Amino acid sequence: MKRYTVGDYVLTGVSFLGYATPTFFVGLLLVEWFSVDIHLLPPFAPQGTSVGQILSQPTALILPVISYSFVLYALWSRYMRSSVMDNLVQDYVRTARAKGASERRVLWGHVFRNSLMSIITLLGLSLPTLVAGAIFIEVVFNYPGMGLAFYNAALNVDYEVLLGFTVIATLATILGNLLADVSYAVLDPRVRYS
Amino acid sequence: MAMIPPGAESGQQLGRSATVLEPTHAPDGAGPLSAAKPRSMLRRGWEVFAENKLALASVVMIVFIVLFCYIGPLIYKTNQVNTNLNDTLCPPSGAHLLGCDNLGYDQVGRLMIGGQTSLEVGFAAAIVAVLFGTLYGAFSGFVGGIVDSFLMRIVDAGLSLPSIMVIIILSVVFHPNTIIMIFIIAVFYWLGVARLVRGETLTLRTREYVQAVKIIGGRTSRSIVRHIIPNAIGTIIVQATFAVADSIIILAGLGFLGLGVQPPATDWGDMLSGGLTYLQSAQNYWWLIYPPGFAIILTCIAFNFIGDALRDAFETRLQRR
Repeated sequence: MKRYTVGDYVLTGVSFLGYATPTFFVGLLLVEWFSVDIHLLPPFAPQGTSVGQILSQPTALILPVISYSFVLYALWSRYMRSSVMDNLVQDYVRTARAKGASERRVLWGHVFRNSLMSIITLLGLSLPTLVAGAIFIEVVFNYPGMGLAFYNAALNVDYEVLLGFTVIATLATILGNLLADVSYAVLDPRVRYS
Repeated sequence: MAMIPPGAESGQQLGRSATVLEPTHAPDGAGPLSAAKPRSMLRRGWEVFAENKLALASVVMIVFIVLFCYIGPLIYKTNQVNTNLNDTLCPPSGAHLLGCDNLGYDQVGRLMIGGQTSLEVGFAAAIVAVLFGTLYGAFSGFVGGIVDSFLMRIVDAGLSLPSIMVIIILSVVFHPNTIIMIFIIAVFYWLGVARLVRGETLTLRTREYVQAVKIIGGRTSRSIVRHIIPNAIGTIIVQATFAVADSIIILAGLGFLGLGVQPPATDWGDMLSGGLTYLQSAQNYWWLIYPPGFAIILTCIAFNFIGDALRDAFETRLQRR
């Protein structure tokens, strides 16, 4: 990463924008622009109970997918930036430069791979987000997923459902941690659990 | 949990020493050796911070938003207590600069009082979470051993819960006002802080000056408050800055789901949720969603930039490359 250059500022700016923007506001804006203003895309996520039904309405998927991935992009690029910055000052980078590796090779061959290590932990930790679903996105787009079900249960103070969802998401977190630990051992030969 | 009384007591000490730290930075009891060094570190940190124009602009932005929310209502007077159905959803005009919402409240005035709630909850939740997390983490890391393992397993258990879900459940159960809201948000945020500070403490406790305090008979609380925490203050302040932004986002999320503070009080997220309803009536009520939405974004982005610049300023390791 070229720290403190125009490119860094622009990209960091975009990812900060994504990080600082509430998920639901991204969704709202997209609905406002693409559904209300120019009537291009439907404001609701696909309705249906099976995967086939949901995939059969591709235009309805566009807005929710874009809004959620924008937020996630912001999160990951931020982690990646700091991870890369941490790695750039390591000794092995100097070694690689000293032996004459091109800047591209240093970045992609050495720094990038090592920076991914810390991302893996976070990937593991983000597994529950997939299970818990993007509650806000599902509420904005009225997408019939776990998040919306959880929200409705919360409004009705339906403790059994709430508890069930929470336990599932917790299990997912623990599972994600385990997966991250295992993949550490697989990916980094320095890590050995014995 | 047994550590709450000493924690609360030394919490005040931390608050005091932190305010003293900023302008003059004279850690009494640290001796003449370290008296000069931290000042130069702060100055160097400030130089790095000032180098970052975005961060400076962000500070100006935060000051502006705070003035807008607290001084604004004195200048731009609006009725935020009674609904006014004549003005329902009126578009922006001379009388109502940003129009009115579905109950006839003036949007600008609403932004101001909503902003007060958002800022208060954001700051207070950040302070509560960071204070408690810092003391908890520092204590745990400093004492070490079984106590450390036990305290950290509590944190791990808390961290494995999906925070947003539990926060939603708590909001449903408690019908929060501003005060309860602060604690609901802080209840999860301190976990991460505690973990970070503990990590920092583990490296600090082996330093000679900390060992020296132990040898000359200093109490644990003295080591933690006078030596560990001032030396970890960089991490803590950065974390606090991000905590404010995150708390505002969480509050906005809850408000959006209709689980935030209850009317006639409001916050920016709550205002957005009103906007969603009318957005889908297929008319262009843009003044219902843009103002609160961009207020949230501007505030959070400013805090994030500040936090990022502070981290660059404090992390000397990354400065010279």
